[in-house]
Amino acid sequence: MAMQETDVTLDQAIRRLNARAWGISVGLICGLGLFLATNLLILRGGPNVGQHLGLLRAYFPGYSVTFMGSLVGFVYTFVIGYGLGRVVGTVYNKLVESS
Amino acid sequence: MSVYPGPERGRGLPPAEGRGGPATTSSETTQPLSRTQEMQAARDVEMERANRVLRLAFAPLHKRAFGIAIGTACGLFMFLFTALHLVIDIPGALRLQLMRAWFYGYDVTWLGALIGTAWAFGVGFIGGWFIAFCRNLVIAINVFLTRTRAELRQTREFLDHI
Repeated sequence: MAMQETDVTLDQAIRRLNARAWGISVGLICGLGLFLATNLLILRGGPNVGQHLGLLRAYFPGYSVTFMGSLVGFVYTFVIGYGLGRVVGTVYNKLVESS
Repeated sequence: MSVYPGPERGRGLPPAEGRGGPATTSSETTQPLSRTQEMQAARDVEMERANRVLRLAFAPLHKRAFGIAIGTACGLFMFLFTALHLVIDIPGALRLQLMRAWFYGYDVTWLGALIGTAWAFGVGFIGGWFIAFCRNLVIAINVFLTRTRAELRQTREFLDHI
């Protein structure tokens, strides 16, 4: 009986996600995604660089389709991604603990 | 609950006399036996620890919980994004109402935000559940292949002795 309880506790401990690690991972994916997309457009060049991606400046003040803008965008999207990843980790852990 | 079938019980070191040692009295024979038992117990503990580490490495994701977690994150994002448009007038903002092409009933209103949240939760749940399913499947296939290879290797060694 005691062994079963230990196993259940162990199971719950094992199934937990590291919420902070999830936050950083999702943040990095989002941040690097925008960073790379912006810089790829800059490298490709053309008459109107990043016509559509540039619309993000409405939500991210300071962002533009330039190298500096990509750094600013990285920070914004990293923060948003971190928040989302943290939510996933926290909600998952709560549900696993209660199940 | 242990994954490992159990250490090689009964296959520890044989008693001293079995190993060609000198004849000993009964009190002397008990000492090597207890040492063997101690070694066996230590090995058991080590195996149990290894089991825990292995289980941690190959622990499956809880599909429903992961689906709900991803769904919650998507729903929350959708709600906050719509609410941002409702609260602040953003010049040059995206035409979010176009989302109604995919999310039936969605609109840039508070009611639409709730409907959008429900939709995003549903889509996120399905996506999250499927991601967890695929991840568990890949882990299970990996474990199966590794175990099969190990068993085949053992069998090969066994056949060499025939």
